[in-house]
Amino acid sequence: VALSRRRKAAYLGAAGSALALAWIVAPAGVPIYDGIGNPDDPYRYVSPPPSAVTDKAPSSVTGHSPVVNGFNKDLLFLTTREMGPQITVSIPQKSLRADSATQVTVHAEPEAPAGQPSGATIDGNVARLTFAADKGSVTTGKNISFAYVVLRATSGRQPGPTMYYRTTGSWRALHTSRVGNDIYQSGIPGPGEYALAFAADAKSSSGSHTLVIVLVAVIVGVVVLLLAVRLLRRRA
Amino acid sequence: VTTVTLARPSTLRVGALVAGLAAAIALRVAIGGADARTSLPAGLAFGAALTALALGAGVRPRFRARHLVVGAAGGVALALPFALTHVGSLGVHRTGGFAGWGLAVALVASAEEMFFRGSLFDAVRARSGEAMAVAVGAVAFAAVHVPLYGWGSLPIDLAAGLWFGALRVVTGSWVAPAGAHVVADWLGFWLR
Repeated sequence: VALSRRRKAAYLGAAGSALALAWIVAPAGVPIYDGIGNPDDPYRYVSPPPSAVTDKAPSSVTGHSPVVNGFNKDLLFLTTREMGPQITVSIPQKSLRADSATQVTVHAEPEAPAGQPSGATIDGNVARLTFAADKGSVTTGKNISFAYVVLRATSGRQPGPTMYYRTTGSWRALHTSRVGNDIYQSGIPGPGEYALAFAADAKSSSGSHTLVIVLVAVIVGVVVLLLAVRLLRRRA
Repeated sequence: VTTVTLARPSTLRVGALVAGLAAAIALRVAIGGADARTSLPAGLAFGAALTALALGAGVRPRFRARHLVVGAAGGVALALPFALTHVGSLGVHRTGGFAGWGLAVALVASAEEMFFRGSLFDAVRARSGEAMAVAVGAVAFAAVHVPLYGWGSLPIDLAAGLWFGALRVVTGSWVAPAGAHVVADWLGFWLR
């Protein structure tokens, strides 16, 4: 039976709305839906350990934005040049305040870890994030709550690492989301050092447990849907 | 008098396909081991298993230019939100390694669509109607991607599954969602 144009449009509209909603409530860093991970380059260390596959140096990244009415005018979305990027920073408009400046600068620099978080071991490099202005100082505005940093771990091993942050002194853990196979995202409290660290007693797992859970969830989900339809039809 | 109620053929088909999907995932884990999520051989084996299931269920590849064009447009639409929210910062961050990866991803993505929006869609539609076919395909699609991208990817993959289902409904062919899936994956290679 051929569907009417209106019905086809309804399907597209509903699915498009679901997509828009998904992007709003849970924006994905990478719009990829396939079953194979990207062919990432080996992780680049500032200070490569003996086990490092490459001794290529990691890159840093800098971005500028004009200042209008005291705030950064542009979104600053910065990624380092590795494949895939080891540091990604997103600073929305009006996140940085610099009243007397005409331009603000955001810089992310990889550094070798110096000092470990309590009970955890830093994985890979530390990312030092700095904010600067051509005149005067930079403070953070309320939109900084929408800013985020994404760091790539040296592997996709699970349980995954936690993002840590410090300005000076001791590290503190941040709420961390896994947004890819080996990439993790946190909010940006401000300038300072960011690092991924595995709990000192964390053991690697194969991820097969997750697959089993998902498999069971798929089967249960389909069965529940079929039962629901059957029940509704009986009632009708 | 004994009354025997047999399961409807479409119910059995859905069950068989879900069992087949489970077996395909198990095969992927068996081949990829700890790297099942990123292993190319495991991904290709997974794709081959899904293709075999779809072919066994009677799905046949019939390519029409219109479906491919609609699919390509659908793939661009999937990547559009990311592009729009990062205007001014987009660029080619990578150049090497695309050819082999792109081919493999095209094969696996097409196999997934042949299964989810082909055989599974047909079986669920015969059993429970078109809307349910779109919904079941989206839920299953999102669930099998959680191990690769984590739970954070569930909303966007669920929505993408609905979008692929809508493309299937609009064109009447699994080729359109396959085209969208492949184009979105390819664009993602550079948009990351």
